[in-house]
Amino acid sequence: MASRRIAPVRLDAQSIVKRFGGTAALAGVPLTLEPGRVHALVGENGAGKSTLLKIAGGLFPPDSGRMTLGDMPYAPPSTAAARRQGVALVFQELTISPTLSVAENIFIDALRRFAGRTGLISRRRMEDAAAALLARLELDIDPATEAERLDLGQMKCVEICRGLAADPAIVLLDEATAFLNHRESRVVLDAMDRLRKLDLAVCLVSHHLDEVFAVADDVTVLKDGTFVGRYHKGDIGPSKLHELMVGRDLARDLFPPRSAPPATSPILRVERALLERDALPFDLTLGSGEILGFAGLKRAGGDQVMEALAGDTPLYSGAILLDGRKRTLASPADAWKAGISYLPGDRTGQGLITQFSVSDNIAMAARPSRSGFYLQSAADALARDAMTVLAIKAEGLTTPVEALSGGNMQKVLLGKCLAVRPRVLLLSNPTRGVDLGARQEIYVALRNAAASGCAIILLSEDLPELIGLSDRIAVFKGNTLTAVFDAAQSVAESDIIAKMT
Amino acid sequence: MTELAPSQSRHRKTAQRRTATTLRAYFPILLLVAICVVFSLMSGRFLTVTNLFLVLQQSAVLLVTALGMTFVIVAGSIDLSVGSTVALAALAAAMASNGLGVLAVVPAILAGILAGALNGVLVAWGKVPSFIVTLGAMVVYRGVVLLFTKGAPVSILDEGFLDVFGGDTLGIPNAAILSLGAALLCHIALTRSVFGREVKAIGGGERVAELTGIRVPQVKLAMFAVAGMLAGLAGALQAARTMAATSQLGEGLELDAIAAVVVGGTPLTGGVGGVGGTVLGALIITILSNGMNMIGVDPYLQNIAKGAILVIAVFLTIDREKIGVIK
Repeated sequence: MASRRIAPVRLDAQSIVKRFGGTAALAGVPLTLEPGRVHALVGENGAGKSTLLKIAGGLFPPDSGRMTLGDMPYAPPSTAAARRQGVALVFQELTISPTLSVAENIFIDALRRFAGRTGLISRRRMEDAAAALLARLELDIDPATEAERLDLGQMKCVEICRGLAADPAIVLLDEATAFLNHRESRVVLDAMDRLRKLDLAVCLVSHHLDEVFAVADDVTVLKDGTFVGRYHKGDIGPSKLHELMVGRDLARDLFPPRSAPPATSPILRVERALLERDALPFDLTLGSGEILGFAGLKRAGGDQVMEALAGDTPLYSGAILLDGRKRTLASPADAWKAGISYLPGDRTGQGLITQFSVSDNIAMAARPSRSGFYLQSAADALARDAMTVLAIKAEGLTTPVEALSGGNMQKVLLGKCLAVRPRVLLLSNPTRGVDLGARQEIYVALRNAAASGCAIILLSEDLPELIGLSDRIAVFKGNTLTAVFDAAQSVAESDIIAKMT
Repeated sequence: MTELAPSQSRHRKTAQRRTATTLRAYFPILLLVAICVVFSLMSGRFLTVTNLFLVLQQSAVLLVTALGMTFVIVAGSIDLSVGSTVALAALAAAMASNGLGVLAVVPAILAGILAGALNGVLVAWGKVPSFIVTLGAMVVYRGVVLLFTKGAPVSILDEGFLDVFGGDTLGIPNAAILSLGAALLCHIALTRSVFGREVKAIGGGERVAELTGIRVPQVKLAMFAVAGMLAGLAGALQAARTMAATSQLGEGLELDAIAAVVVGGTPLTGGVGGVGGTVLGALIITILSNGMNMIGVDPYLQNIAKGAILVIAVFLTIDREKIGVIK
């Protein structure tokens, strides 16, 4: 295949506006990508980073604004059109088919290129072409290997190669390392370095500031859909960058006041916990009436501890003690029976049966019964209580949950967890995608549950929420506990981030 | 171009779904009435008490089998082995009837429970999809029957057994009484018992059910055992009707049972549905045969008509937002 490399070119975007429904995802944002430089887009959840990247990649058009590629106007109607003009977008989600070979995955949308006169594909030509792309990233992967034998970092690199197959001048990476561990991320970051050396313009979206500082030359900071600033790496430090990202006072009154520090007696203890073979062991104690925050990146350790306490996935090793007695939580049913409620982060996939009614969902864990018969009236009473206490807005008890808003769904889910009067309540991102009003009502309900003696673990990606609600905060990184902050209300976000990354 | 706000489109979707749900609820009864009207217009013998009892008797084996299938399908699983289980249970009844008389129903039911429990263990703990487990079991259980009978029928001579399961009381076929009684119990179990609620929850969202503390494997085991138990009872009814156990008893019954459940409005995707619909579905399938025989439809055309009605029924009632695979 003849090398028809597109000449290095810069991408310029001016005053990009994009609205989704009533909310402005982007309110007039610029972006400039230069050849031979890696550019990072940073900001909090909902700042508009991914939206901007996807507009540049042709996934959807901006509502207004102007983009140029070199000297030419640039308004790609689709990702395929963007690719033809030399802009390749690599999505956050892995789109590798595990049963196909690496070469087949790279050329999945261009298999025709290798078809001979008979219409059959020449494996050899395809694998040679794949090997050439892999070599550009200096990856040691055999193109004939089945993709499922790669680790996640290598898979991501194969996806980058798919983008490179069109010989782009500009590569856009949406949270390329979101699901990767440290070692796998390294492989991807190295690949970005290679792209820079090939004189490509690279743009990445990342939540991980350490990654940004490891690989990026320039940084654009977004906040709530607006442009905060553009900086060279040398001109800004991590803490300053973070301040720019958050850039607002915490809405303190969003969180209910803490009652007097509860005289906690320990309920739950995790001893010598090990999350993987080479991780460091740790201990953790939870007292009654306490809200313990779990901070950390995705799959950094907090999720795993919570899943172990929920009886879903056991610890690699270690002991779980309830009231000083060792407990085996072999299934979620064991955990619920021991008085541990679990509110999973995936509301509709793991938390609620959305076609079932409000009453059926709220009573699903408690399942009130007498001699094997389900007591519908008792279930309805539980549901009515929950609807009052949590201010759930639904037409009635028999309304299917799918007819409710996200915030009310989340309250139904919390209602289910509270209906069993748990001793320990495990919450995974309980206010994700929930509007401010419902959020506040959920916070009050959680505070009240704690005040009545319930011990709560709050795993959240939302640092202000962790600080505003928790009594103590445990920070996880690399599959172990790295720090526990007492007096959570006086902890600064930057202190937590320092321990997370 | 106007775009609906998210909440508006959600309301519209919900309204559409409600219409679909209403249609699903009334479709089986409308279909049953329509079929009866057509047949009674075409044959004067159709709408008679004699024929009503005949239909109830003819439908008993199918209905009892389909009751068990209802639990399995509501949980989002499938059981292809019930036809073979009927043959196995009929054999157990026939072999025991000479010594035990009426009580030969006990070994029949036990054989059914055992066969169902074996399926349940493999599905719940072996984590093999129920389609595969019960497909294999269908062949194996039939093979066991062949092994014992060597293809020869085992006759039932005990009058007591034949009277209780094949006779009638005050002119009403006992098979009809037993099958409708079983249907009532199953209806109560599915709607009012904790077990029934758990079966529904598993069908609605197995992962949600599991994370909510429902012991999914145990419930699945119980559910397949119940399906086997009912197939065992169906086997006793079938044996009494044919006055013998043969290796061909119940062949293809699993498909009729699935058809009865689905025509009754219970989708294969699980989570919703009920016994009432299954009763109607079993009657629809039986009456189609009964009526077509009565008006003299070519037997070869009958299969085509039955198959077409099944597909049309599902076409009209299925909730396309939730099409999934058979688990």
